[in-house]
Amino acid sequence: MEADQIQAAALRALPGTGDGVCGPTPETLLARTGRGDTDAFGALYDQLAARVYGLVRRVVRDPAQAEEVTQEVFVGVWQEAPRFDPARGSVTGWVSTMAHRRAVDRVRSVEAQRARDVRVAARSTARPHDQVAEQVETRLEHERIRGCLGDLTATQRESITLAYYSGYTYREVAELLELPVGTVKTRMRDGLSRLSDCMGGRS
Amino acid sequence: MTANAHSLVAARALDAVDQADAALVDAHLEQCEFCADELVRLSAATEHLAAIAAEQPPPGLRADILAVIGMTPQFRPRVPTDRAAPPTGRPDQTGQHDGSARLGQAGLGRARPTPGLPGRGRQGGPGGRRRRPGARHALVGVAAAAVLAAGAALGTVTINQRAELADTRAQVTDAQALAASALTVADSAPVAGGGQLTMANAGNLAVVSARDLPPLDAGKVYQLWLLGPAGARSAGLTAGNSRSADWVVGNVGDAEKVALTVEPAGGSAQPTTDPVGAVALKAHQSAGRKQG
Repeated sequence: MEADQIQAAALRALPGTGDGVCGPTPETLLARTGRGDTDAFGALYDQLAARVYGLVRRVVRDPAQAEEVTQEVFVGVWQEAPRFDPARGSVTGWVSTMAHRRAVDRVRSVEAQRARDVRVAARSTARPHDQVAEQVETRLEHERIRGCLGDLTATQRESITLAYYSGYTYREVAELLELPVGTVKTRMRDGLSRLSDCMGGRS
Repeated sequence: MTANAHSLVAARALDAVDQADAALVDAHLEQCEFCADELVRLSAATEHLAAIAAEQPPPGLRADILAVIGMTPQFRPRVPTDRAAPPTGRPDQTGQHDGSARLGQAGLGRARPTPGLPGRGRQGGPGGRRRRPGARHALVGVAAAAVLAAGAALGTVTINQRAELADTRAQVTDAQALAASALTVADSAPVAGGGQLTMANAGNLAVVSARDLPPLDAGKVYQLWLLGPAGARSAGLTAGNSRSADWVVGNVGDAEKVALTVEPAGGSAQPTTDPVGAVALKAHQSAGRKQG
């Protein structure tokens, strides 16, 4: 661990490593976190917090709840770090998935408290892009993703965004879009496939 | 049924499935290598959706989280003998709630032991030295750690009475024991037709464990509810043939008891049948405040 800390300090001292591009990767930081290194955990938080919080807030909407869920996610990352197997996928993907599932669990358990009027809820889910804070260096990448989303058919895009950003199940999406359930499942698949192809399979 | 599960892979990648459908798909992924690859590919696409939602969190959150992890033990690394790893290297289903199932973070974990599990001694570390978090966050963290620890234990040990829960608590070590002390054992009750419902709760969190549930007819599921002055709130589902289930419920609020009912597949917004089992939540007296 000492050697790791020295290495981390050396990396921090290098010019141009503070932008998260040349610095330690999430993989490196998670491996150190798995050995109990709280500094590495802090650095991992710095790299992933905006992604986790933004995604969670997009789904649960309420900032206070988004904070709670974000905390749950990072405490989960800390606890699970010794068990992470890098052969099974990227750290960013793992953390994003955890964040999304917990956000969806939260919004579903909250919304189960009242009879859901999905039609009313759907109107409030559209969120202007200008509310989404963006790092300058990621803006072009984000524009590319939005471009790819824009290339989908309206039904593909709506099926995907209602599910992913609002936490609706495919059955609820079908109800909202007044489409057969089978159609929605197909649109989700085709839409995600096209998004993946458009982004060149990169993650 | 297979064709049905097959068609749900994209919905699974979007987490757009209820628990019953998720179980269906995940079981199918074990059998279908193509589908598992498809899930990985489509999940990578969802990462782009996550990326464009990025938003800076409030500045105080970092210090709060570092303080909490300073008091939270890490799970032990899985060693190959820990649990049966899926032979094909396909994802297993252990992490349904934390996303680890999708990426298969199980079974084949590194066999290296974790030196110096952080415990109380870590409180003086970088996290602990920063400004103290609000008491609310710290307590939530301790209670969450307790519940996660208990939840992990409940997942691997059959628990249907208090004595066994006490055994489970005895298994957790060091700081985990501290955190587990925040759990209040509420009670255990039989389920009509067979089986047992057990619950422990602390603060706003509860761990509910059902064992030996009688199988239900096709198209029926078990649904867990929080019952309080304001009525019933759904706390989770499990498939009608699942036999056992564990729930970590994070928004107990003013609920007075948990109850299990039989509902149509997909669950109900409100209970439509009488409970087959119910356990009263025990009032909590800030048990987590005892950590010094």
